[in-house]
Amino acid sequence: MKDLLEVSGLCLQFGGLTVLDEVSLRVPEGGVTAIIGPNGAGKTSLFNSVSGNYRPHAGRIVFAGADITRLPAARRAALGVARTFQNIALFPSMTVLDNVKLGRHVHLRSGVLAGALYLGRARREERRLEAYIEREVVELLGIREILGESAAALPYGLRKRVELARAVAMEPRPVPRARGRLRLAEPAAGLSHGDREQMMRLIRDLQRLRGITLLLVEHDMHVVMDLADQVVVLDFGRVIAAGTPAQVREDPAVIAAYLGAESEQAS
Amino acid sequence: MTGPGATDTSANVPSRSGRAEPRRRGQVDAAPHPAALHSAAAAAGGGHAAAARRAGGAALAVAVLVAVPLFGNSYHLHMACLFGIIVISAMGLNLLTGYAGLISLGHAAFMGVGAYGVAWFSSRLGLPFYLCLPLAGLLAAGAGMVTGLPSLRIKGLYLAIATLAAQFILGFVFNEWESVTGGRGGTNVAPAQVGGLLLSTEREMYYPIAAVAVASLLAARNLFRTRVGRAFMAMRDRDSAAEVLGVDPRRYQLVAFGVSSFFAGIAGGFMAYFYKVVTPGQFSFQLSLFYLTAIVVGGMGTVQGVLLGAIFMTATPSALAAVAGVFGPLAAGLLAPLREVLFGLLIVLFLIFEPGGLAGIIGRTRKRIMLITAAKE
Ligand SMILES: Nc1ncnc2c1ncn2[C@@H]1O[C@H](COP(=O)(O)OP(=O)(O)OP(=O)(O)O)[C@@H](O)[C@H]1O
Ligand SMILES: [Mg+2]
Repeated sequence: MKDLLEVSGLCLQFGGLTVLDEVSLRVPEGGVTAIIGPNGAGKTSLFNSVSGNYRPHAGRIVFAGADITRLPAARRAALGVARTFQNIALFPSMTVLDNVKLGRHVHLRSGVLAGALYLGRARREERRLEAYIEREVVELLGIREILGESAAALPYGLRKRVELARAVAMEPRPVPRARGRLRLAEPAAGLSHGDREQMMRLIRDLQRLRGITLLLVEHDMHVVMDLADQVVVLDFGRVIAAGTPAQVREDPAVIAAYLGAESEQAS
Repeated sequence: MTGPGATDTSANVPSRSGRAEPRRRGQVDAAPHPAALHSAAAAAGGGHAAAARRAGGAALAVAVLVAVPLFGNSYHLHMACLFGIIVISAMGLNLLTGYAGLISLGHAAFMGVGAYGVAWFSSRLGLPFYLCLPLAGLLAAGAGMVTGLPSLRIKGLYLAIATLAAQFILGFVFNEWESVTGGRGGTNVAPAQVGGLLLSTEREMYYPIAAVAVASLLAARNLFRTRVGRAFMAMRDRDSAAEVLGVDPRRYQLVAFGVSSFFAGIAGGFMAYFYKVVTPGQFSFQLSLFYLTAIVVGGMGTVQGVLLGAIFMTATPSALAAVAGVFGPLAAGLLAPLREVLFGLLIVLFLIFEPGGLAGIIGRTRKRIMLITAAKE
C-alpha cells in the first residue's frame, strides 16, 4: 500500500527538553494508524507537528509526496490534512439540530440581512444545510427522534452521540486541490475507557466509509488494539515499536515501557 | 423544497461522487425527504396540522391588527402605538441580551440616537419618513457598535458598566449638544408624511408602527433559524466552543450590538414621530431599565417573550395609575419612584425564580396540559 504520510527524523524541543527524538513513521493510505504511549511520551506533540501547530526543529514531513514540513496549518488543511473530532461541548440551550448545524458554520455564508429576510439566499442555504445533515448525519447516528430536543435535556450517552454527529457534520468538504485525505483524531482524556473506545470505533467506521486515512492518538493501549491496522509506540519521544497490534502487544520494549509507567504510577 | 438529490451538489455541500460506498448509498436513498427533518425539528411535531394551525393563527393575528383602528378609540390607538414601539425596541434588546447573552443597560440611549436622528434627518435635511427611519436605525446601529467595541474584551459585569457609561455619555450629549438636539428643551419633529398622506394622529401612526413591529418579530425569528442567529446563541451558551467551530465571538458581538441598536433606533424614531418632540428625559436610564424588565419578565431569548413582556409593561403603568387613583394623590407621588424599585425587584425575582420569564411559565404549563390530555386519551 502507498504511504500517505511519511515522517522522518522529526526532532522537537521545548526549552532544552527533547520532546520528539528522531521520530520516523509511515501511515499507509486508507488504513487506521494509532499512536500510543505512556503519559508524556510525546504523542500530542507529534500530532501537533503533523497538523502544523508545532514547528519541529529537524526532520521531514511528507504528505502525499509533498514536503509539508514548513507549511502553516491552514495550507496543510488545504492539501487534505485535517484535525477532526475534537471534543467540543454542546450548546445546552440549543436544539440538537441547531447544535449539528453549528458544526457547518464555517461552510455557510448568509449574513444578517439575508437571514432576517429569509428569502432566496439564506433560505436556500438553510435548506441545503438541512438536506446535507439529513443525508450525511441523521441516519448514520440515529438522532432523528431527538433533533428537536434541547441538548441539555439529553442523557449523557445521547449527548455524546450528538457531539459526534456535530463532528461528522463538521467534516471539511473535499478540498479541490487536496492531494489525499488524512484525519488526525485525539479523543478527549476526560472520557472513560469504554466511551473513548466507542467513540473511536464510530470515528473509524465513519472514516472507513469515506475512504479517509485516519491517524489516532491514545495513551491506553487496549483501547486501540482491535481498532487500528497499525500501531506506533512512543516512549520518551522515541519510537520504540511499530507494527500490527498483535506484534506490538508482544514487544518486550512496549511491555517494559507500559509496565514502567504503571509501576511509576503505583509508587 | 429541494430534495436530497442532484440539485444540492453545488456550493457548500460536498458532492457524494467520489465516495463510493454501496451500503451508505443505500441508506441515503432510503432516507426520507428533508421535510421529515423539519417536522422532527418542530418540537410540537404535528406536521401538516400544525402548519395549518400556524397559518390560521397568523391570519387571525393579521385580521385583529388590521381591525384595531376600526373599533378602537383614540386612547386604545395611543396604547396600541406605544405597545408596537415597545415590541420593536424590546425585540432589539432581546436579540442582544436574550439571544447573544450580552447585557445592556444603555438600550434607551440608542433609542434616543434614533429619535434625534429622525429629528435631524426630517427637519434639517428634509428627508421623507420612509428614509428617516432606516437612517435613524443605522445611526443607532453605529452608536451601538461603538459601544460594543469594548465588549470584545469584556463580558458580564464590565459590559454592564460599559453600556451604562454609554447611556450616560449619550444622555450628556443629548443634553449639551444644543445646536443639534435642542438641549434640555428638546427639539420638535414635524409629523411624518407619505406622499400627500399626513401621519400625525395615533390613528394615522398605527399602521406603520404595527407593520414594522410585526416585521421586527418576523425578522428576529428568521435570523435565529439561520447562520448569524445560531452564532449568537452559541456564543451565549459557550463562547470557547463557539470559537472552535469557527464562530468569531468578537465579530458577532459587534454584529449583535449593531442589529440590536438598529431596532432601538427605529423604535426611537417612531417615538419622535409619535410625540413630535424629542427630549433627553425620554431616553433616560429609567427607560433602559424598563426594557430590561420587559425582556426578563417576558422571557429572554424568545420572540414570544418579547410580546409577553410588552403586554406586561404596557399593562403595569396603567395598573399602577389605577391603584394610585384609588388611594389619591399621595399614593401617586409615592408610586412614581416606586416604579423603578418595582422593575428592579421584578428583574431580580425573575432571574432567580423564573429565568425563562412568562414565556417559560407558559411553555411549561402548555407542556403539562399536553401531557395531561395525552394521558387521558
Ligand atoms: N507547548 C509545550 N511547551 C512546553 N512543553 C511541552 C509543550 N507541549 C508538550 N510539552 C512537553 O512535551 C512532553 C510530551 O508531551 P505530550 O503532550 O506530547 O505527551 P503525550 O504523549 O501527549 O502525553 P499524554 O498521554 O499525557 O497526553 C511533556 O513533557 C510535555 O510537558
Ligand atoms: Mg497528550
